[in-house]
Amino acid sequence: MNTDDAGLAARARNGDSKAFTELVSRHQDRVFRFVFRMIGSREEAMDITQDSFVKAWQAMPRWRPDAQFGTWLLQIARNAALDVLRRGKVVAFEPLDADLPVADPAPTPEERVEARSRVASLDAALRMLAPEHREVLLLREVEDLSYAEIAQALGVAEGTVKSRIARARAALLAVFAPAGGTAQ
Amino acid sequence: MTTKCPTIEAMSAYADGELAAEQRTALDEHLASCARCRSWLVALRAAQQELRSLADESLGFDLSQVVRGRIEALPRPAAAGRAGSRSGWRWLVPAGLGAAASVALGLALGLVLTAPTALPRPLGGALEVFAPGAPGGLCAGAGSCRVLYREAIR
Repeated sequence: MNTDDAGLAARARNGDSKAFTELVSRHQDRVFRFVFRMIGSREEAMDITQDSFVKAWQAMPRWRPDAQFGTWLLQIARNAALDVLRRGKVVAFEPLDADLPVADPAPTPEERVEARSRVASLDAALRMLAPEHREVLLLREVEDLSYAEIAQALGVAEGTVKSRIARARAALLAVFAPAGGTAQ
Repeated sequence: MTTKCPTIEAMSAYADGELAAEQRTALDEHLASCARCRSWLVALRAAQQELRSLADESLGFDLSQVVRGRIEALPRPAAAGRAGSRSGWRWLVPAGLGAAASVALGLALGLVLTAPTALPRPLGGALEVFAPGAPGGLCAGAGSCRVLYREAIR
């Protein structure tokens, strides 16, 4: 029996709920992680993750084997996350903490590695970005998707992905000073 | 001599290994002489490294059984291959036929409602079970009927 994503998705498409739950186990963390970083609320992200899988199950008859299941699923989750952001249900744009290291022309390494953890700093910086920049960075840098996969998840051309990633990176480096180097 | 700085898009594509060989070589040469672009690239690589650390985030529990419970309580989705198709026989009926039927029905109703005495009168007595009376006069159950009956025979 074919137990890769495509095989399980094909079975799920024919109504096999057990195959679908295997896909849930495989992809739940990735979907949750992406949604959580998009909207900034763990609780809301849990709900959206669960709802996204239910929506995916209902949409399974429309899934085609030429679409990677994981990318197709992220597209569903991404739409749900954007809906939440549009409705303003979650405060996604928290102001930067005063202690947060930003792109200071000459911050010392000691200043950078202080009070808040690196993850918290990065998280806060991500939330300052426009959702279209945040999502593309998460898909590229955290989820390690290719340009083609991102294009599928976002429903845009690969050329658009390329330029959007570039702008998103520049926007991130304008508000975030990574520990290993600062853009001048 | 320092050449003109490349665009952010070119730098970003360079970092992803998405540039053609010729462009890559040109950018390599530029980087060798431009400290500003080098520092941007170093910062980008450092940020990428930190972003990757976010991949450790997990949900913390198994969602599969919760989802299974929810999807098994749902009506089964339409079988694969029929998705998006119109269900039942209705798609066989051409749209024009429906419109024609609506017009015909409208004409027929118009003729019937405007005809002065063409309609036969209802049969006498056929509707007498709905004799006028207050709502309280209707039977509301065996008990109330018995009360009314006792009052009637007193």
